[in-house]
Amino acid sequence: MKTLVLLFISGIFSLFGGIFGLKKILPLFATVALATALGYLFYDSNYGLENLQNMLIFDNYSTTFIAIAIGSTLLITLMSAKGYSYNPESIGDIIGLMFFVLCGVVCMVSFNNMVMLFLGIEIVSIPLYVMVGSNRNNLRSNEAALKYFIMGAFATGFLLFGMALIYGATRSFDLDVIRSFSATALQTSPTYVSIGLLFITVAFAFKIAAAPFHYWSPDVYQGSPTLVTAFMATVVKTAGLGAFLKFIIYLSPMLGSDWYLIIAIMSAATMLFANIVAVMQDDFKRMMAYSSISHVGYVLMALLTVNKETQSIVAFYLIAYSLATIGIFACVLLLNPDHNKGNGFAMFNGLGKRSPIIAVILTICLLSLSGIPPLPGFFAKFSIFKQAISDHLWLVLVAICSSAISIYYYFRAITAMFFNKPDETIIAQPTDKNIAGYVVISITFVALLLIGVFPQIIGL
Amino acid sequence: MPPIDHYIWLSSILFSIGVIGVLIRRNGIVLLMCVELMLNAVNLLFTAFATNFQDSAGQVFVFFIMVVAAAEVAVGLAILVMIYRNTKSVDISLLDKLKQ
Repeated sequence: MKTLVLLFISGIFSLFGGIFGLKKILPLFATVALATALGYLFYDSNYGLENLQNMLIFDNYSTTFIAIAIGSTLLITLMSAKGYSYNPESIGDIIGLMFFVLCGVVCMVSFNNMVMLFLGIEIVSIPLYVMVGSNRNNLRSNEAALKYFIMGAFATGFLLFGMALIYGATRSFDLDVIRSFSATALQTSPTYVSIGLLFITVAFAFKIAAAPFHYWSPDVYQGSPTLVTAFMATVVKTAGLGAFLKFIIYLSPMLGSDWYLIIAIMSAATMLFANIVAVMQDDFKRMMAYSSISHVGYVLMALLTVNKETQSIVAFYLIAYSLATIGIFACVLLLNPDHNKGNGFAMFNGLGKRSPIIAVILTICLLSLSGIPPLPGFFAKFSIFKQAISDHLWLVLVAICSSAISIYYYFRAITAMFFNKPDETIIAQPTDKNIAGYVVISITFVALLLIGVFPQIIGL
Repeated sequence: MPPIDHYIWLSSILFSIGVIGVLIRRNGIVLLMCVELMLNAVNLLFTAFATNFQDSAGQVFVFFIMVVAAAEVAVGLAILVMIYRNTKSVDISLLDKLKQ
């Protein structure tokens, strides 16, 4: 609760700080505020669970996912001084909106009532529409903002219609009541329940970009400013998957085998489709969008079997994925700080000679995403496969095939770095002035190696 | 009060009209109107259920939806104004720069 209040006050302060000429200190302020929020979160979690009128419940589950979201935001915020240079006069607004998104993330992963789930999803989405379009004079950013807005509003409609039908069957928004009513509801109004659950699942699939509802994602990731893309790919994915898992844990008595089959098919389609299409991409950010879609497919596989382990498996996967993704986008930002140029694979040509530090760290991040041991991406995938193999052998086979495909496109960037000749006409030299960017990639590098060698240090 | 099924049919039809509108129309403003139609169909459904159950929670939810829809439309119109400044049009089929 203290975390939520602190995040909200920091957001308001950033908005006003942007107006009253405090733009220079805002990135520093945001870093300190996020670190304090993280500290309060762990401090509060020592006192057991906190229940706010049955609307929000802060327990071990929500603490884990909020910590992943705030930690990712902390790394992204470190780079904000250079990362938002395309629109320097509104850096206060962007940082403020980022804090508001985090408030929404807190509501999304600690909800105990459908109202808070809906409000959380909206508090995450509405500031993000603005952040995606924050590069005002760039038509690509405008297009990405409109696409994200239309798709987000469309998904909200589905979410609400599903909630209305569930309310019609169970007469309550409180998830504890809904769960205790579920047996009666399934007998008296089975149509409401099944259609309602289907609609809510569709809405979640839109928000986390699972196939076949992922078409907005590559366009939005390509058009947004790089830091906003990194934010969407990590924090928003964490929140969406955390909320979806919590929803499944709560409503598991209502979910029939048909519903799990839908999720299994969705997971298989997401992994196969995203990995095959990613091979054909020429824009690196677009490829990363398909890569993040495919990782959603792997996590959906973990959601099929809900037991005590699921929470820590999903959290470990999200930590491994977020660290590597932030590292990659930080490298892209260092190589291509000017937001009007494209992000083709040519920007990596000869990077191994031009800037060996960036090249090595980017390689480690890409290897972790593709799941090469001893990096955390491998252990994350391994624990998901191990959990799913007894019930869904075919799904694990599909996942292994699609992982094999994914190695091709991750290695495309790595071979460009170490074997291609630098192309003087296209590439900008990495700017050495951006110290924060180097700090962030060093942190991700050390964290990836540490977690890879000692997976138990994050205590999941 | 008429049977609850009539309300469900009415709001399902309104919701479908909204969905079809979002899928086939190409004018940004009309898209916003169709999204509003979807949300208002849901509002109608919530109100009908709440009246049927004599339960106030559903009615309160409608207020939350109205507030969020207003905020969403404010942001959506701002995005459309921004696009109009750059392209002099609100036709979304002009926005095809993000492709290979």
